[in-house]
Amino acid sequence: MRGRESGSRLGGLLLRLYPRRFREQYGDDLLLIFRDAWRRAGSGPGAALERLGLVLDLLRGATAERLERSPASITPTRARLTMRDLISEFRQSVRSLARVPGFSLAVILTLALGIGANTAIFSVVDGVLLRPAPFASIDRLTMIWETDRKSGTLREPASIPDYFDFQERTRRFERMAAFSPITVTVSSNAGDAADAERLAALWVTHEFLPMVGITPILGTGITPAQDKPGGPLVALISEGMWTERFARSTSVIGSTIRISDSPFTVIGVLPASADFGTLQILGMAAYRRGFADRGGPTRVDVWIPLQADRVNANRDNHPIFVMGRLTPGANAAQGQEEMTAITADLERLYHAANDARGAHVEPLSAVVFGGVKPALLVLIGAVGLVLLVACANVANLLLARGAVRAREVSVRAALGASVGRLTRQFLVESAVLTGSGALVGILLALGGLRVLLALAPASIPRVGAVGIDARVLAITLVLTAVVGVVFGLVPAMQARRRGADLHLQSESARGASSGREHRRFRSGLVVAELALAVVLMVGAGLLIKSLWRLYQVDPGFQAEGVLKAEFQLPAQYPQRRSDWPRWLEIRRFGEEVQRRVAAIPGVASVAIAGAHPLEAGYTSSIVVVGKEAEAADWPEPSIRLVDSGYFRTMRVRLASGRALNDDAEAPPVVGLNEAARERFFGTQDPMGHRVRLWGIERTIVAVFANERFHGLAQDASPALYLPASQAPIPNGSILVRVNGDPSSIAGALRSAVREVDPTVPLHAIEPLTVTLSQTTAQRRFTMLVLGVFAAIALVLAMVGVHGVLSYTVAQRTREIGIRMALGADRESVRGLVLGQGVRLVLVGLGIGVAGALATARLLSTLLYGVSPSDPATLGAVALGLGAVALLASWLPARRAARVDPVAALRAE
Amino acid sequence: MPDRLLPLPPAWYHLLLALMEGERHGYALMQDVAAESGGRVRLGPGTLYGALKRLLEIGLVVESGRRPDPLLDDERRRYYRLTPMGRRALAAEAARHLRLVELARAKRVLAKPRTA
Repeated sequence: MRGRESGSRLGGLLLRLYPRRFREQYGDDLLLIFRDAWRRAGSGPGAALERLGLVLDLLRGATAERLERSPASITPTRARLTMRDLISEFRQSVRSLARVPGFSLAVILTLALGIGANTAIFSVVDGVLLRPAPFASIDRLTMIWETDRKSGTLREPASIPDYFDFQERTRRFERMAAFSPITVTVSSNAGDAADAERLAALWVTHEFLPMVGITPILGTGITPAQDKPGGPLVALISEGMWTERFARSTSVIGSTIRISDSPFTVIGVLPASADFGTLQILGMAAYRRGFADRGGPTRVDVWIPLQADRVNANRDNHPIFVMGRLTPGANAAQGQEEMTAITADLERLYHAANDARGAHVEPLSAVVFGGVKPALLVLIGAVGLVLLVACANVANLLLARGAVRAREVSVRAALGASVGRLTRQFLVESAVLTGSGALVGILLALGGLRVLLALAPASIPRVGAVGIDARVLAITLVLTAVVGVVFGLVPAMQARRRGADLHLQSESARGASSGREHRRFRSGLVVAELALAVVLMVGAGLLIKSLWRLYQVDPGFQAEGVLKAEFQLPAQYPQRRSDWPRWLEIRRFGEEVQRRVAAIPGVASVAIAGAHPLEAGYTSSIVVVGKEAEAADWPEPSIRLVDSGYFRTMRVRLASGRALNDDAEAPPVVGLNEAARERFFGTQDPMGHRVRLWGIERTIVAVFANERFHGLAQDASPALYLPASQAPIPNGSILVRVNGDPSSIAGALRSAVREVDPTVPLHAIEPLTVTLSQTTAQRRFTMLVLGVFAAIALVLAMVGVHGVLSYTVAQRTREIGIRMALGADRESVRGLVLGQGVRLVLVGLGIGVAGALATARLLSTLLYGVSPSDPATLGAVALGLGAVALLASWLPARRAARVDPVAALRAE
Repeated sequence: MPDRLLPLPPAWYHLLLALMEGERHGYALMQDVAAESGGRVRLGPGTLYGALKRLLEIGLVVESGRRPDPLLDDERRRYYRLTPMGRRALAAEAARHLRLVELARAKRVLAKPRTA
């Protein structure tokens, strides 16, 4: 489907190259045929060649129409376009360029890198940021977060009673809707773990889909009646699930699927775009991020009516995310103003539950794109610099060749060739160069885009829908073509301006002012290239250092050697509130899994935890007995349920106190992390103090080192550890420390759990190091891309330095010969050329470092533990660039030193 | 008049030959030329319309209306057919080819054909 679309888009673009009259008369038919042929080309490498043939054919046709060539010269293309044909097509124009292969290759590769990198990056940016969102008028959609002044959090989910109060009181929002993430087990038959899948799901209110403007592609949405507490069990499924599980059969509507062991009737199928932004919204939340904490590119597959119970829901409990649609004409600031007033009212009315609570209204697009925008903008800037460097380099190369040919031009002009004819010749040559560069560039863009998408982290919204953007390609092509043509024409212009005889004059004309002026311009270009390369290298260096700093961070636990598997116990495990924390069956499941998994060969230790160490989990308000007054401004700590194997398995250090291995009958105990000790007790010793949580008083018996459960880049927030024996774990993670490769025991782990209970499926099984690396995926991506750009810029700048110095040496051969004849030794000649290189590099470095200092601030949101003006990075870049530049200068310098004075003086 | 056009560019020759079967739209022409030449001649869309434009200008071909092709899709396509002059030009070109082939035979360029 995308092939056809890109076919007609590309066709439309190519059609523009035709004269207007032709287009008006034949355009639509031509396009139709182009599209037909494009579609029929199919897929695979043969198809790519076939399509390339189609594009070339249109380009040929357009050129012929533009030039109004005589009809007889139109010949049909031969049968299937082969590689050999391609080569022969190019052969003729390439022949003259082939005589200077180094030059041609340098120009083509430079152009290709510029075009390819730009097209790839801009296509990503276009697909992710610029393309319209699947939601209707997204500019009026906002997230309505709750805030907590005590913990300083700005993005918390809301309580159900608050949501209904918001809805009732608002005038600025024409609609509000709520949703909540869960992970569900979906199966066709009850109790069949083999058929069961763990899928991401959303509870949504009936307003949600109409509010964002998503309509089911099959069936219906959720009615208000279906959204009432105790309403029917109905669900919508994703297009993906419809395809995979139901082969796109329309009979899915009305059929029954089992979701977490209850029968649900499927009422509709939602398009693939329906979960737009879900991962980004959840990823921003302070807690209750659900499946977004998995880090991977999770797709939402099931939507279930929230059926929120306004009367019985607890105002202390914050399970839902609220989204609102502003009334036409209202803006987010007005929405914020109103929500601040509403939450202030609710705080007065429900002081116990809503103390210190406010609202934070944030445009949805800021939430969805906010996380990636800085990185993508930096990459756009960087790729723009790469294009500038590429253009400077092409200009430089063409000028160098033009200078070499100046004499040839003069001779031919003197022999009667018209300037127009010469101009045409140069133009054709430029066209061949830019054309080849463009072709290679398109291939690079296609390949590069594929690589980019493979590396792209899941945090980038709708990255799956990115394709090459024809507009971007066209703009880049035009830009580079302009550079190619303008600088390709320079020698002809020089011939026109100065008259034909200048370069035929005596040798002395060579070293004269025109040559110097020319050289100065080219040196300027090289300095610009060097400076831009420095800016890019500093940027890349800072990102590399940030990542390195991040890897140096002690996360407080050891992920290496640990396999993680997530589970959720099905509904037949009784979880009655009144029985808590007895919950015998759940405890038994945990103990049994402990026992069986520990027996697997190669397993060093096993833990069961409510949240694995990279999962933020949930928070709850607590009271420390005797500190009730202070507790008013305490942030809610994260509540972490862990069994007795946890600290051993994760190698979390016990800072003080004793292990948490009390059994169910022992007096209730709790452990703190160091952040909680510091926040709640300051310099006081917390041991023996009592904490009240969920109606139970627990004695503090241990303090553990901080685990960075918000990811490496964020400090740990206060946390409480509850032993599983006294707070059973109905869903969470099994963590297994393995001697050797952790993934090797995945199969054994599955069967061990199946032996305990075949109805419990495991999901998200992966080494914890993989989970950890996902938390840095976006940084790695940005760093990698910027690093590649910096490398490209460096190579291009070196080509520039080498080119300018070689040109100087060639131009000054006679002068060097005279110097040597007059007694200058090879050392000093070499020094002369090297000196020129060093001057270029120093000026380039100076400007580049200044530029880097000015622009590195733009990177600051992407940096970690390193300042934008980090002297070590600047120094390393300066040294590195200097060293490479000296190498690039060395070759021409050596050539200069080898000049034979006799030959140099006799020449010409 | 047709004689002045000779020799016809190969693309024209193939197109006129394909139109001998009756009126065709552009895509069908592309396919017919490929099929009749055993896949050896392929006209891309650009070449095809470049040639068609000239054939229309000179008057060897006329447009015969727009309608969808029931075998393809609902898009309305332009159909083309030969004019009497187009037919004459085609015949003249074919005769020219024949004379050339006979000349080649006389000089034994080709393997001797079996006597009929």
